[in-house]
Amino acid sequence: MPKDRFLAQGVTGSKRQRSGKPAAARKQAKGQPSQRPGHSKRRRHGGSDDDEEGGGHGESENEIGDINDLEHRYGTDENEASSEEDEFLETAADKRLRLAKSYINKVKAATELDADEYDAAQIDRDLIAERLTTDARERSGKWSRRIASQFAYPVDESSMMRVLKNGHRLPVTCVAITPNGQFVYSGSKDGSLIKWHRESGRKLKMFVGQKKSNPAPNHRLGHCDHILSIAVSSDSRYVATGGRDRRIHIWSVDEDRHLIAFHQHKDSVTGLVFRRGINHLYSCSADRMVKLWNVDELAYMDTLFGHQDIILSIDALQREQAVTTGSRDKTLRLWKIADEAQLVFRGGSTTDQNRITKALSEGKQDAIEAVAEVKSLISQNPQTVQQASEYRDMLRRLASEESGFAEESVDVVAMIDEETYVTGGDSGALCLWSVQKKKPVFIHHIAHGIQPTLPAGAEEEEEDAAKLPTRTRWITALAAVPFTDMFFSGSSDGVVRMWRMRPGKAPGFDMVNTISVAGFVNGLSARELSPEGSLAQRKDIVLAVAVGQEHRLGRWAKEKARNVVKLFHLPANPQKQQVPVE
Amino acid sequence: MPKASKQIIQYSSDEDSSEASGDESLRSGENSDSSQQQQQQSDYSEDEESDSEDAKAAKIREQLAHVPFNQLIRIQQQMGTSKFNKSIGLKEKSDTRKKVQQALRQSVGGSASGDAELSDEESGSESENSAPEMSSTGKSLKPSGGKSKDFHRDSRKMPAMMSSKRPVSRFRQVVEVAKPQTRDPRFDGLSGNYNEDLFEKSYSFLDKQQEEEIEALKAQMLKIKKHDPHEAQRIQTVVSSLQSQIAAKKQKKHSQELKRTHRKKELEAVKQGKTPYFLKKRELKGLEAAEKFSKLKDSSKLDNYMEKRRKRNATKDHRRMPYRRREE
Repeated sequence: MPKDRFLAQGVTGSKRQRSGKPAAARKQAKGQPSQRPGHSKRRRHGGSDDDEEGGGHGESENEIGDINDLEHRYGTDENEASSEEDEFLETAADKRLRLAKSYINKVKAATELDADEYDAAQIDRDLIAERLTTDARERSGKWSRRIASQFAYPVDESSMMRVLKNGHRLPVTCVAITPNGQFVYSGSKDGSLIKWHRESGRKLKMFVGQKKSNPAPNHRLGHCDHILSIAVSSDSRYVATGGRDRRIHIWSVDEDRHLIAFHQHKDSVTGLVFRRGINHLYSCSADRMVKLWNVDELAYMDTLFGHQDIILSIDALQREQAVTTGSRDKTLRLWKIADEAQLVFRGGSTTDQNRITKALSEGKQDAIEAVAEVKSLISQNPQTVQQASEYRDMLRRLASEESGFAEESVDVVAMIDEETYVTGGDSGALCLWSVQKKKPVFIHHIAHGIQPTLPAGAEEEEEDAAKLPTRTRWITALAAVPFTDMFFSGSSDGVVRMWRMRPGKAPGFDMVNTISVAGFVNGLSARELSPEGSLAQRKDIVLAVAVGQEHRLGRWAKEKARNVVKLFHLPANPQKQQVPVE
Repeated sequence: MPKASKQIIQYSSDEDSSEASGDESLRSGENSDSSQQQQQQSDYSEDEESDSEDAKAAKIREQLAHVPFNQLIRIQQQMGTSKFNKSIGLKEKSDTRKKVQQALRQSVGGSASGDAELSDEESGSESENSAPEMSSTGKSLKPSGGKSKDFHRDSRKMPAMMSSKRPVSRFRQVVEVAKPQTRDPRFDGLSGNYNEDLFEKSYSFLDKQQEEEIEALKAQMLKIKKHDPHEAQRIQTVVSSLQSQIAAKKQKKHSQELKRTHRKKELEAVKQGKTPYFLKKRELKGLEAAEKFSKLKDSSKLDNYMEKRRKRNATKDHRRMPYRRREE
């Protein structure tokens, strides 16, 4: 018989040596003589191999060591008392149990517990339960927490507002708060990106933009044209900025340095968003393409086509889906990336007389309790009351004037949950969308009022004023607190409005609060802060408003304002605590 | 063949595992996003299916559990896979096959969405075939008249679904221009039906106009003859064409007259009880020729005409004769 491994009977206990070391040394290295019951069984073929083996039979224990080596049993060396069951088969249920335990341990580690003051076990259970329920709700994709009524009070500028100033020279175009609530990033038209400390308002780091005239800019230093969009990853490690220089720059939050510049876009990058929970970046650009990036690998992943005009904004939550607005092609598209499909929603709704009169009479159609609740919320802030009454007056005036506004461009979008989106356009209409319908489910017309026909200070000649068309204020920024009923909208009318989704079956939203902010609101970012040891219902909201003298995309008008970032810390009003609805 | 068994076993194992771990959130948390979507789709279908069907299917499954496997396969083949699957309560989980079909359709044709093709697919799959899978895939591979649809939506109120992999050109229709609707009055229903009698009566003035035109043209021709012979020639051709048009009209009317008289005769015969005889074209031609002959005879140009005719026919025959025989 040739000394061939294949032909040797019972490939066990042969004297071939895996490593150069003698068997005894190998045994010692392992550290344990494994006394497996029934090892005598495995020597069953030993007799037939006697001719081939030189003198290996005496070392019975070494053979056993070889056997263990050969069969690569998991845990054979560790478990001395390993059971008779040779195969460790994990059923589906066992696997789930194991994963659930590891998940709970992860959640435990993530939630920081203040064990001294409270009953540790209780807090443990509550926080973990809360975290698990929020995670479950987020995965289900439906908004459920009602928090807007806790924030309906007038904003006290002295205690709640902080102005991040002396940073940008030109209008601030975008702003983002890191999910851990520590930093605020803002980008502006001068190409500079600034990292601010949220609590103190200090400027921590500034990445100055290079001059536009620079013939050979070094793209590793940063932007060389307007910054138009910004996004922070959910683990607060990366910041992505995109701008008119067609580049997406990735910066590291902890190390304060530039990582990479993606150059694949062919036109300015107008929107960026990180997916929740995973470091995938979605970018949208004026070249009508949506591109996907893996930021952990610093690599390009995919391109999605479909829009017929420049894409102005993008938003995404946890799923591998993104929603984009296509300005003048009047569509909102939901990109299902896994299916390589897109759902096309048709915007471009007209605000005509019929709709205005309907909006006026809407209060009577709604349930009386809902209207009363909104009224009570509004009444806390006199500015909001005034705004509401001005709105109704304006609607009445427009209803009699025979004017109509068509939405020619869908500009901004925010995702409230995985299947509900809100968009704003140049007709001032805030539209609420659902995945099941191609037209908006609810429209709030002329949300931010009418632009004055002549600039302030000009003499009004009655004839000329009558000829000029009335224009509505464009919605320039939207931000939603995902999976809750609250979202914010900004425009150039000097007021950031806080909206609350209507509870119940009929979709809709109402204004519940206003925050005065002068200038063009080019960016909004809203985050919930979860301070230590607190329960789910009472989380403060931090709202960052990027204010500029001009619109972020062009110089159609100039407002008297300062180019700053206004940071609002809105504590949850304990009196108006709402129980979260399942 | 192992398909049915795998599915049955899978179903029972799902039930067991669902009893073991009672936590729904964890189960949903495990799945990836795409399977979550599939789950959602299956949830959707679950809602549509009524409980009674589930119960029925469960009963059938219980009974089938004792049936030997060969028999199950035979039953499936006889019934058809889709019917069989429905009866034991298996949901259509042909996602991979559908994806393949979609991909094929994409590569074959355009990207409009619509309802027709899914109904075709369903009807195709429901037909009982010995090899049901083959037939359904075969059907889907055919492009349906150039209108292959990528994605299907249940109602027109839902957002349209499209592929996200096709680049869009930079140029787009900004303002929608209305396409000019062309209509051909010959085939348009609005124009009504052609009534020859009415037409002649209403447009009889045109004949007079035509005659006047001919006179005018002749006069013009005489004028121009001296200084511009080419132009005169041209006018001559126009005049002659007009004249021949008139002659043709006249001839047509004449033959219609002949037909009419014949028909009247036959009508009388029918009244008397005889069967009618319908004129053939050749016979009509014969009648016309007879009339022509009689006319020519009166004007004594008959010989001339017959001579010309003979010559014409001779040359034609000569041309048609085969090459060899011409020499003869």
